[in-house]
Amino acid sequence: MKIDESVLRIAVEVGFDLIKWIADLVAAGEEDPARVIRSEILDRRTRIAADREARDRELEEKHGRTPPDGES
Amino acid sequence: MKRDPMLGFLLFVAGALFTIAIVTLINACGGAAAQHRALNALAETADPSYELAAEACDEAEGAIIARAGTTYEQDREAIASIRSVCDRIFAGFETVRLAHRAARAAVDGGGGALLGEALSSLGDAWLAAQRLLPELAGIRGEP
Repeated sequence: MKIDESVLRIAVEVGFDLIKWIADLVAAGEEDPARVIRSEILDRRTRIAADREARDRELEEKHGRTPPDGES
Repeated sequence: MKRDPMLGFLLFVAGALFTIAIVTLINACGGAAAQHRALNALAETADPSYELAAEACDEAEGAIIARAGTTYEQDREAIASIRSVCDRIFAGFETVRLAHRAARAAVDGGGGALLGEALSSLGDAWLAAQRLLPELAGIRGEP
């Protein structure tokens, strides 16, 4: 079977585009360092906020104060 | 006024290791690999220092709650002071983290003037964070 040259050229171009598309997808899946840092910071701040809430409750308990509504 | 021994240790270790790391980094003539190693050493110092500072801040609040003979308002005010200092310390460490990332990107980008600038920002951020630590150590006193 004889394949027309123009069809072959289109097939090669489509093949290259497909490879490039896959490479872009892989690159997008890699971790963005800035996002990792933001996530780290947010994570630590969340833990600090939780510690502070716990200390607030301890302070209320120490002085026999009822925590505000909505807090356990 | 009581000095927190953990904070003293934190100051010493963090200061000493950072100095070693930054000097190594600046003097690194071995190229990007050596600079990355120095940046790794810095991250190994800065991250636990932030963690220790967070623990020290929480313990400082715990000490206020544990003390006796104070009113609610006195305790609340003392905790607010601790949080004010700690917030600035946390922000300082976060600036260090971002400056560290910029320095790493500069190394990856081939160093040069950009690396010098990133190192300068990193050093400034670290010193600013370190300057705040004695404030936390000093805030833990009896009323």
